[in-house]
Amino acid sequence: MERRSGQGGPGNLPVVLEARGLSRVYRMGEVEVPALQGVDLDLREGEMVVLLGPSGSGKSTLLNLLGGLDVPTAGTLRYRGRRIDGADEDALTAYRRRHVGFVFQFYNLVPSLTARENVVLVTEIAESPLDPDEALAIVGLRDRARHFPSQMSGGEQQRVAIARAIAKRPDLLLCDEPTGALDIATGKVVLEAIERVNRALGTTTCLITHNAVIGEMADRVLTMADGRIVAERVPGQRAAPRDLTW
Amino acid sequence: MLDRKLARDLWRLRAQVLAIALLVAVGVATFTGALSTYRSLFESQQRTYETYRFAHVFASLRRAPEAVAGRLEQIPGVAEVETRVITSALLEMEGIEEPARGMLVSIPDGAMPRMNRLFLRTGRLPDPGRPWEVLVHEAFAKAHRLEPGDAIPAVVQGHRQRLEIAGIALAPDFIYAVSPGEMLGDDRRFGILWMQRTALARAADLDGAFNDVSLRLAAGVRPAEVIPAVDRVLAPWGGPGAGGRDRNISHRYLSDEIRQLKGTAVTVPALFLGVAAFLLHVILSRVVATQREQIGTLKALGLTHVEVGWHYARMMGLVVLAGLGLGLAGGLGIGHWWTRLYAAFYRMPLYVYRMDPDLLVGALAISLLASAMGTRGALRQVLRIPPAEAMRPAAPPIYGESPLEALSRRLSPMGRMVWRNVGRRPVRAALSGLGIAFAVALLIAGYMPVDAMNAMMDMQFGRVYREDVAVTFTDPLDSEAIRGLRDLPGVRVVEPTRSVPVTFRAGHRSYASALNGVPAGATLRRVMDLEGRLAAVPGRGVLLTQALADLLHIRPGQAVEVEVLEGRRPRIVLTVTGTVQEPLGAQGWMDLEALQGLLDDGATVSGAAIRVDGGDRASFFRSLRGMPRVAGVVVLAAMRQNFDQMMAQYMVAFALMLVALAGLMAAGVVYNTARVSLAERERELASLRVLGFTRAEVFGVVLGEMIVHVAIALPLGCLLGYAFCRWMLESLSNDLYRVPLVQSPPTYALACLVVVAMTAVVALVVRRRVDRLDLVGVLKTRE
Repeated sequence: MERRSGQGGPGNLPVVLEARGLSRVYRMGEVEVPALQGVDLDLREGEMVVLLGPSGSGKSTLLNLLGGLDVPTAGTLRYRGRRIDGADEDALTAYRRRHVGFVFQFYNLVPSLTARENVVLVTEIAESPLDPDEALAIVGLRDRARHFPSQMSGGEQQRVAIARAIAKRPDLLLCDEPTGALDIATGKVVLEAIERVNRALGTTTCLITHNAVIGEMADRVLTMADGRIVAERVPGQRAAPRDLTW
Repeated sequence: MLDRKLARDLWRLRAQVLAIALLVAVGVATFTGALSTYRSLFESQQRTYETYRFAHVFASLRRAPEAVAGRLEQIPGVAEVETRVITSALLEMEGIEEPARGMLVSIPDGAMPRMNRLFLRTGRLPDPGRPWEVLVHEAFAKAHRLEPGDAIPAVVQGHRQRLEIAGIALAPDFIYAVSPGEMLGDDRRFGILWMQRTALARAADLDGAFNDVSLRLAAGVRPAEVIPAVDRVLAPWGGPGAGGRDRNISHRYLSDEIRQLKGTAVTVPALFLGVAAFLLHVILSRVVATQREQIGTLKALGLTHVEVGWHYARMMGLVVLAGLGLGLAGGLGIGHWWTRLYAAFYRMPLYVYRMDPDLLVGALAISLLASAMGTRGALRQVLRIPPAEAMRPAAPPIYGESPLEALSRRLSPMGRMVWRNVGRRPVRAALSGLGIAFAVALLIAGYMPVDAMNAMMDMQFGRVYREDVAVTFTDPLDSEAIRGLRDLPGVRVVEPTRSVPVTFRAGHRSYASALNGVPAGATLRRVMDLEGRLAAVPGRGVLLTQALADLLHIRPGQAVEVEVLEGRRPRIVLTVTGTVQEPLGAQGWMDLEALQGLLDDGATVSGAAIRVDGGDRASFFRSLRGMPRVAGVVVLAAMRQNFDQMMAQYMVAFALMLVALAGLMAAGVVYNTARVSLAERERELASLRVLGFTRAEVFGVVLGEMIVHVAIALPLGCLLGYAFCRWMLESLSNDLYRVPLVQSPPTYALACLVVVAMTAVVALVVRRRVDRLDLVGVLKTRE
């Protein structure tokens, strides 16, 4: 089977997540909708991967499978060699709890907790977490620690979501359209925070977007269509988020 | 098309909507059920009284020649007079060791009485040729499986007789057969028997005379208008004077019971409809919040504010109407059932059931009122939403540091989520707590009469009446009688009792009752208040039951006039030395010797309290039967047993019903608030799951809120329950009863436990929903 992993940069680093023939079929009443059809993918330690593709191409489905939010209908998924494709709900919860950080388009902060408390929520259940204030410092929000979500802008909320996602020192940071609801300037600030986390903590990062420009900041760019990975590109040099324009 | 949306919305909310409909149904069912029972019983009572010509005025006396009846007929306003002979008998019944007490009431020879007519259930009237034929009251007949043709061995005025049963009957003046001076009916130990006048008069040594008279009045004449004249005519013939229907014990019990139904018809429905209104509010507010966009779209499509508002009003209206329909059906069922139950319990010769149209209208009105109260707030919001604004999502929920924030400092973030969520909607938390508290209070207050009765019985049987057997005499006797009792086999202690019918007077107020004598150093029967404190019976002066002092408006230190209604009928003025809160009756107490001195008629005792050795009981009772002046024998242990049996029967059904109602209320509130809270915070909870929190941990946040509501509810419910109990005391107490305020810790604990158990059940249901949370679906949508 042909490996689609990139040749440059972290190509020789250990594989964190390995997918083979990953498929997901949704049943919508009488109809079966194949959202993902036999995807092979390796994510290597410290890598920054951007998944591009139009809506409906299967990006989110893939991300959900990688993050243990959903289970595949066929294929295998290994986390550091351990099968997680057939795991039950409890095992998946434990997997998410220990290894995965999520960032969504709509922040999904707990509105009744302050920025810092949203982060503490996670550090309390993690094994060797960051200091909550340090996590907020990484996303540049140390001075907003006591603000509630309703008192912050969208960009700030998203950065809190990132701080919350990385506070447990996850092995994987999965971001689903993290800038989708933000304007350009704010979006760049958020991307810088993700970039900083990836570099400073060496967290393997996988980011979904339909904005091709963002691919420039990645080690690898995968393009999806109709539930398959149809192209892979390795930009020579990772661009800094502040230099991106769209 | 909107109708289809309506149907689908309701289907989606079916469990919540069902809970509300059930609460409305309980409210409506108790309202219509209790009120229709009240009216049906009232009407049944009136019809029975009319059909069987229940008398208006009653009087009993020692003995008067038949000619006196003619003088009573001449009193203006009196339409009819009928005299009777009433005497007591001891009946030998199988299965009970002591003789049962029979009340022999005369009927004309071979004919029906003109008033207080009998309803012959089976058999025929006694044959004039057979003097010892009797009719037996149905309650007694059923308790002993007696049938026409059977015979009862009896002692009538000291003579052994076999009473032959000609038929089984009911009568308007003995609808509820309870032995005079006792609180509860005991159908095995007390029975009414009707015998022909000539034979009974001969047996009672009242030939050509009578000792009881009933009067019917001309239309529009009130009893109070003729009673003074009746008393004047009867004064020379002894007796406590005439009275209206209130003097008839059966009438009094029945009327009291019917009146109490009215209270139920108001309080319980108000409670249930109030809680239903609150839940309607919670649910509709939530529906409106989630459907803002739809509301905006509908308005943008050209529907008016009112049309859209009507859509939502109809949605909740349908729920209430469903509850109303269910409730009316239930009310009809309950009403029928209760009426039949009461009619059977009170042995009404006839009963009718009616559900008046105005009750239906009333039920509709109160349920619409509840619905209006519940939906008003949310509907106003619907009307206010402009089309454009509705297309934008609602502003994110605003949280801040509440004044109670300091309290949350030590909590974990999960604990703080719970705390702040409660703090952000304090009114909802308070109302939800109140709703659950009502369930606790309902249990406590509902069970209070049972606790109170039990406590009262423990007190009465354990501490006040300490004799084994109480004996009453046909007439007051001299102290020889006591000596006679002492000589009976097995008797260890005999203490005389003396009870005199009197009228107490203070100023323009008066009350006909009894004055009782207590022997100095009495050990068997003592005067005790509700809390079990012994009351000192004065050597001089009189001790009054608090109820009597209240009726007469007098206080210790003041004087009360006592008119004795038997013997030489002296009038004396006594000083009130104190009052005592007794559970039963309104009477006076004084030292036995002092009382005997006042009466000065040689007749000193009217009964006796006796301690008997267990081994000699059989021969004791055998000897007692040979004593001609013994009118009644009460075995205290049997009385207690009878009471306990009655309570046990009644309690199981009652407790189950109470738990079901309160459980429904608690579960309805807990489930609905939890579901709404769950819906509002789906996203938050899904986020937690994504972050790696387990299902149990996430459920903890929802459970935490439920626990806070219940924690508010339990103490509040206990307080409310206490308040309800106090309030109920007022309505339960009358001049026959003083109900003690009994606070039973097990009842409180049980009430809390029922509610906690209900919450646990609901929590399990909610837990399933939390487990099934669709993480991906929830998080990908915009709020």
